[in-house]
Amino acid sequence: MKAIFKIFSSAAIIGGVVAVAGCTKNFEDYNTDQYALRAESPSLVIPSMIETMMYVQQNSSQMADQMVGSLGGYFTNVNRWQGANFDTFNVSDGWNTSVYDQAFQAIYSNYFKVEDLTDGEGHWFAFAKLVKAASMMRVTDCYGPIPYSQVQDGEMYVPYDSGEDVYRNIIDDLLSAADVLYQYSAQVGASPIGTSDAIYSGNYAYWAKLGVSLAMRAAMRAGFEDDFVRAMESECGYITSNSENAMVDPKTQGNPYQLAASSWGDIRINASITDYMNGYNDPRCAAYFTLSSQAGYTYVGIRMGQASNFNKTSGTPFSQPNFLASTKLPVFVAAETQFLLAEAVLRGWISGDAKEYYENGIRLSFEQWGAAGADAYIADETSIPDDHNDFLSQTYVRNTEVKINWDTESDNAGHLEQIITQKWIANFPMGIEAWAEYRRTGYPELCESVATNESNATIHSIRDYHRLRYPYTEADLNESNYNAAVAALGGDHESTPLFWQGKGI
Amino acid sequence: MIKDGQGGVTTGLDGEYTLSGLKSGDIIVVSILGYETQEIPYVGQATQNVQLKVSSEFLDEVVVTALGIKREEKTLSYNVQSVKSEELTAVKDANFVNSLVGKVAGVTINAGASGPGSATKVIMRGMKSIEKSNSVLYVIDGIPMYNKSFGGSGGTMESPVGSEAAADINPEDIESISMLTGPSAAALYGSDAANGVIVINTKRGAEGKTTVTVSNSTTFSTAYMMPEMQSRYGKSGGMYSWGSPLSADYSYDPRKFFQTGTNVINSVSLSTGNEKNQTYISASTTNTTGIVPESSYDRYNFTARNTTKFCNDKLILDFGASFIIQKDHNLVSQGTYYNPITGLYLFPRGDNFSEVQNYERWNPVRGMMTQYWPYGDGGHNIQNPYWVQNRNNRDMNKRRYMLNASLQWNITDWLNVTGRARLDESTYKQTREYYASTLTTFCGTNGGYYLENSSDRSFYGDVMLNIDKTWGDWSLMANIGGSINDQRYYSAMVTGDLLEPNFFVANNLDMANKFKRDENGWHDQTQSVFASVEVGWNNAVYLTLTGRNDWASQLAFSSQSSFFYPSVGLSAVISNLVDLPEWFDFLKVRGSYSEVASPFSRWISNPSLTYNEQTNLWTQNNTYPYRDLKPENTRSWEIGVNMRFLKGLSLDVTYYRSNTFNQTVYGDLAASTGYDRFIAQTGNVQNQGVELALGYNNTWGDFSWNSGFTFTYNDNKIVELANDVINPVTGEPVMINEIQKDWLGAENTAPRVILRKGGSLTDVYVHHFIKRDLNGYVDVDANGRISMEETEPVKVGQLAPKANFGWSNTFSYKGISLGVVLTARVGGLVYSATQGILDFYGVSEASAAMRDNGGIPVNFGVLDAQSYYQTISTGNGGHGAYYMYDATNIRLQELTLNYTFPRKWFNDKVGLTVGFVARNLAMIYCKAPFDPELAASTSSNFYQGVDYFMLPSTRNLGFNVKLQF
Repeated sequence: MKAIFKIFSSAAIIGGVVAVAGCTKNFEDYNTDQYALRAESPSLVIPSMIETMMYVQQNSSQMADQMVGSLGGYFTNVNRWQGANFDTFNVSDGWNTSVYDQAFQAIYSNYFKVEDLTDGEGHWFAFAKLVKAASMMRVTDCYGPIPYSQVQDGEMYVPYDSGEDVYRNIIDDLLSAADVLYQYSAQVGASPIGTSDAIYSGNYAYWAKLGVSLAMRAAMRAGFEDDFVRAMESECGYITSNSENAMVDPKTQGNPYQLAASSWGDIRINASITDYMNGYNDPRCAAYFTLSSQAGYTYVGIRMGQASNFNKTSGTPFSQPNFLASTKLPVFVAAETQFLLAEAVLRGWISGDAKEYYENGIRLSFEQWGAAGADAYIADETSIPDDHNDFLSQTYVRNTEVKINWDTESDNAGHLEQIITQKWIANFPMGIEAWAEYRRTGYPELCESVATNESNATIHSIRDYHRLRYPYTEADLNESNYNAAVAALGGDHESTPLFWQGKGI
Repeated sequence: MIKDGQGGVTTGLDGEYTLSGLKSGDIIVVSILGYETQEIPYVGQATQNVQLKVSSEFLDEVVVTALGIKREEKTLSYNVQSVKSEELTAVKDANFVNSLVGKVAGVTINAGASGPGSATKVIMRGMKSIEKSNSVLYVIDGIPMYNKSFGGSGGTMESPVGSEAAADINPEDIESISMLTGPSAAALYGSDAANGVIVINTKRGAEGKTTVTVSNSTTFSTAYMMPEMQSRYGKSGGMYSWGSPLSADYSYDPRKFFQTGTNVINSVSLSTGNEKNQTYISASTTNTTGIVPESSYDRYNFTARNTTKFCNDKLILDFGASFIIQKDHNLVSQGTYYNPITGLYLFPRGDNFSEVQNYERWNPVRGMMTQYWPYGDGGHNIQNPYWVQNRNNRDMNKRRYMLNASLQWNITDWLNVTGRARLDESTYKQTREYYASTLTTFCGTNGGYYLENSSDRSFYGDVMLNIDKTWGDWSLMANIGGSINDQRYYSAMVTGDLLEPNFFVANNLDMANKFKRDENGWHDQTQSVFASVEVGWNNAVYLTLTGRNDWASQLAFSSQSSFFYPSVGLSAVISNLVDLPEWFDFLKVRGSYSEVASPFSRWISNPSLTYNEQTNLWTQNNTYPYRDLKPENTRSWEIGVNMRFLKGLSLDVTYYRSNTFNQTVYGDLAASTGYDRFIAQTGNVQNQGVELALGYNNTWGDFSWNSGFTFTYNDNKIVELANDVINPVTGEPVMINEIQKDWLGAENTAPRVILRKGGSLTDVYVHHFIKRDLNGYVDVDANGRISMEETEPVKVGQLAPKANFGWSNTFSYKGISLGVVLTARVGGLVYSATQGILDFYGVSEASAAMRDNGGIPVNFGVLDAQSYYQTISTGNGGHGAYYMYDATNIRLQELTLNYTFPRKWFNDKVGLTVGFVARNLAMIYCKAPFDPELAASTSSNFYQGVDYFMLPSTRNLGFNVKLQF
C-alpha cells in the first residue's frame, strides 16, 4: 500500500514537472528571428529594389554591370577566371543568368510584399512600380522578351511579353508611377523613406523626373515616337540639370568599380573609351581615368576579350577608373536627356535644334565631371578617335573619323554617330546602357575582342553579339512559356537580334 | 573484500591489493566485472594470488545507454560498443575524438586539417540528411551536449577555422565511451540522436581509497603527406615555373617551412571518498603548436565532482562543475584565405625563399614595416606565407563552464525518482587582425580588424521515474519521464578597415567605408515526455518498447505542434535458453525497429526579412513561403548477434537499414516567379550496412594478447529524390530530377556533388573532358593544341568509403604492453585541386617529369607538358576528370609501447607507467597525393574529400608518463 502511494506521489511529481515544462506558449517567440526585421513597412524593402537599378554590392556589380557591362566599352575584365567570359562570347550558363536572376529575385519578392501591404495603391506602390520598371528595362535590354505584365505572386509559370510589349508596359508603369509620386510631392512633400533611399533620399519630385527620363530612354530605344512625346510632355518634367541626376550613393560598401579595380585587380579601363577620349583630348579624361603606371603612357585602356590564359597581373599597369570609394554611381544623368532630345529632333519626332541639344549635353557632362574647356571642346573640328596601341603590343586600327564639332554638312547618320558617341562618353560608366545603344545604333566603334575563338564560343565578333541567352532555369522550369517566347523571338542565341536593333536613321 | 565483513579494497592497476584486519576463517571475495567471483578462505597466508576466470556471463557488463541509464548489455536489442578510458588515453590527442579511430564499427571519423584541436567529422551508419547536419550527437553523462563547431563550411574562400565543443573534454576525465551507432537507443535522446550518439561517461570519485594520478603526454608532429614538387625548372613570369632548367645546386624544399609541432598534455586528478561521499577533482593543460609557424591551440580544464548519499542513503546527490579555457591562434585548414601554403607551394622556382623569410621590411614612405612579397596575389589571394602567420592574426578565446546536478530519491529498492539538470555555457571572442599592407582583398591600406563576440547556452532538465523489479522469472524495467532542452546562441560582429594603422580595436574602425556589422542569434527549445519499458523473462528474453513525444519550438507556425516516435526491440540470450556446445559461452540475437523524427529548421515556417551585411539592406526571403511543413523522419531496423566462444573469441555483427523520409529540400524556381526556390518535403535516403566487431583475448602465462577487429560497410542510396512534390500554388506535380550541391573547389572546373534518384548522397560528377574528334582521337588544332570540351555531367563515383577496417592489438608481457592499431578504408574518391594547380603552374614533380621526357604522346605526335597541363588544369584546380583519386588507404594509425613499473619498487605506494606513443606513423598504401582521411570541412555535408591547399597530414611521435599514488 505504501509502495503504491509512493508510485502515485512520484507520478504526480513527474506529472507536475511535465505540466510546468509543457508550456509552449513562448515557442512562437523562439521560432521568430529576433534580430531580423519583419516587413511591416514598404520602406524596409524598397531600398533592396533600388539596389538593382545599379548594383553597389560588389559581387552583383561585378556579375552584372562589370561583366555584361564590359560589352559597352568602358571596362575590360582582366581577370579571365576560367576562360568563359561575356567578352569572348563563351560565357557559362551560370554567369549568363546573373542580370536576369538577380533583378527578378530582388525586385519581385519585395514588390509582392509592397503590393500586399498597400493593396496596390498609393505612393509606396508607385515607388516600387517605378523601380521595378527601371530594373526590368535593364533586363529586357539584355535578353529581349521577358515576363513582365503577367508576373504575379504565386504564379509559377509566367508567360512572356513580346519585346515591344515589354517596353510599352515599362513606359506605362514609369509614367503612371511618376505621376503618383509627383502628386505626392506636390501635396505632401518628401517620402518618409528618407535616407534609406540611396538615390534621392526620398525626393519624390526627382523620382518622378527620373521615371519620365527613363521612359524617354525606353521610348527612344524601342522607337516609340508617341511614348517619347507623351513622356517629354509629362507635367512631372524630365532631368535637366546635374543636381537632379540619379546617382546611387555607395555608402559604407564603397564604389564597386573602385574595389574591383584597385583592391582585386579584376578590371581595367577598356581601350575603346581611352582611344576615343585621348583622340579628342577630352578634358574629362583626368576625372574618368587614373594614369597608367607604365612609363611613357598617360591614359591607356586594355582591349576587351583577352585570351583565357591572360594573366591579370599583365593588366595591372593599365588605367583604372579614377573613383574613390565614395564616388556615386550614375543611373541617369542630365546630359542623356539632351542627347535623347537631339536624336528625337533628328528623327523628326519633335521640333527643335538638334545641335543645341547636342552641345547642351556635352556642357552638362563637363559640368557633372567638373571638367573645364567645354566651349573649346565643342568647337574642335579636327580631332578624331585614336587607333589603339599599347605596351602589350595590342593594336586596333579604327575606321571612324567622327568629330566633336556638330558638322552642319553631315547627314542624319553622321549626326547620329556624333550624338551617340558623345552620349556614350557622358554615360560613363553605365556599361549595360552603353551596350544597348551600341547594338541599337552601331556606335561607337569598339575595339573587337582579342580572343574571339575561345572554346565554346558560338559567335566570333562583338558586332554579332546581340543579346544574352535566357537563364537555363527558364528553359527548365518555365518551359512552355519559354518555348513560346523563343519561337516568337526567332531562337535563344546570342546572335538573335532584338526588335530595336539596327535602327539606323 | 571480506565476506560479511567490513572493508573492501580496490586493487591497483596491476592488480595488487592489501587487506588488513583479516581473521582466520574469513572468506576473501575477489570480484571484478566480467570475471567469475572467487571466494578464498583466509588461513593466515601472507600473500594470496588469485587468477580469476573469465565469466561466461561477462556480457553482464554494464553499459550506459540513453539518459544515463545503466543497462546490462545482454538486455539490449541494439548495438552498443564501448571504448574504455585506457584506449582513449593511450595516445592522447588534443581532441579525444581522434582517439576513437579504428576502434569502433559503424563509424567514420575524419580529423580536421587544421592541426591539434581541430574539429572532427563523425558520421555513423552513413549520411542521412540532405540539408541538415549529419553529425553525431555527443552526450555527457546522459545529457545531450550542443556541439558548437568551427570546423569550417568548406569552399575556397573559407573563414578561419577552429575547434569544437566536443574537443574541450579532458580525456583523463572520461571513464568510458559508449557508441550507439544506430538510432534505436536514441529514441530516448530526442531527434538529434537520429545520426547516432557518442555517450561520454565521466569519472566520479571512488569509494574507500584516495588516488592521485599525474600524467604527461608529449608528442611531436611533423608534416607527413605532401604533394610532390619540383625544383629543377625555373620561373617563367608571374607565379609560373615553366622556365628553363635550373642549375643542379639550386634547391627549394617547401617541407622546410613546416616546423615540428609540439603537443604537451599534463593532467592531475584526485579521487577520494568513503561510503557516503566521493569526490573527483582534476585539472589539465593542453598546449600545442602546429606544424605551421605561429599556430597554436591551448586548453585548460578544471573539473570537480561530488557524490553524496544522505537520509539513510535514500537520497543521492551528484554535483559536478567544469571550467574550460580554450584559445587557438592562426589555425589553418585549407582554401586560399589566410593560408600560407598557397604562396609556399607556388613559390617561383629559381628564386630564393629565404629572401621572403624577412616577411616585412621598413617602408620609408609609410614609416612602418610593410609586407615583402614581390609576387602578387597570383589570383589565389597569395601573400607572403610568413606574413600570413605573423601579421594576419586569427584568434579565438573561449570560456566555457558546465554545471550539472542530479538528485536521486530511492523510494524503495526497486523504485526511484531522479531529477537532473545541466547548464553548459560558452562565450567566444574571435578576432582577426590584418596589419597594414595586407592584401587589399582582406582590408584597407591601414589594415583591418574583425571582432565577433558570441555565446551559446544550453540548459537541460529532466525528471524520471525508474522502476526495476523482478517477480520470479519476470523482470520489469521502466523509465518514465519528461525533459526540457533549451539552447540559445548569440553573436555580434563588427569588421572593417582601420583608420590608424595597426591599432586593432573596434573604436578605430572606419565606419564610413566597407564597414560591416551583424547581430544574430537563435533560441530553440524542445519539451518531451518519454517512456521506456523493458520486460525480461528468465534472464534470457527481453522486450523493450520506447516512445517519445517532442514539442519543438521549430514547429511553431506550422500545422503540427509535436511529433511522436516509437521503438521496439527484442533480445534473446540463446545460451540461457538452450544448451549450446561446451565451447559456446554466450549467444544473443537481437532485433529492433525504431523511428526518429526531427523538426525542420527553425524559422522556415516563419520567415523574416533577410539582412545583407554588405548592403545593409533588408530584403524579402527568396524562398517561396510554405507552412504545411512536416518533421523529417528516419525509420530504421537492425538485427544482430553477439557471441562469445572458444574462451576468448567474441563476435558482434549487426545488419541495419535506415530510411529517412520527408526531408526538407529546395526545388529551384524560374526567376520570373520572383523567387529562387521553393520548399519541398520529400525523399527517401536509405543506408544499409554491416557492422562487425571480432575480438580475441587470451593469456599464456605472463603473456596476453588482446585483439579487436572492426569492419564497417555502408551503402547509401537515394531511393527517391523527390516524389509527389506538389507545386504549392498550382497544386500540380513538380519534377525535381536532380539537386546540384557543392562544387569540390572552383565552379565549372572541380567535380560537383549532384543528387539523383538511384545515386548516393556523395555522388560526384565531372563535365569536362579533353576534346576528341569523331574517330575518338584527341582533337588537336592547327596550332598543335588540345582543348577541353564541356559535356553533360558524367558520374565518376562517390566520395563515401565502401568499407572501413580497424584492427587494434595489445600485447602484454609482465609490465610491458605493445599496442598497435591499423586502419584501412576501401573505396570512395577524393579530389586534389592542389595537384592540378601545382601542375598548372609547373611546380609539381609530375610537370617536371613530363618535361624531362619531352612531353606527352598525343595521337601520333608529342604535346609539351605546359600545353597539356594548362589544358587539363586551371589556375583554380584541375578538371575533375583528371584529378580524382581512389581514396583507399591502409595505415599504421597508432603504436604504443608502455612499461608499468612493478609497484613494489616504490614500496607499493606508487604506480608508474611510461610509454612511447605514435599516431599516424606510416601510410602503408595510398594512391591519393594527400591524406584522404583529412577533412577539409567538418560542417559541410558535401564539401568532402577535397584538397584545396589543405595542410599536410601529420605524423606524431612522443611519450607518456603516468604516475599514480
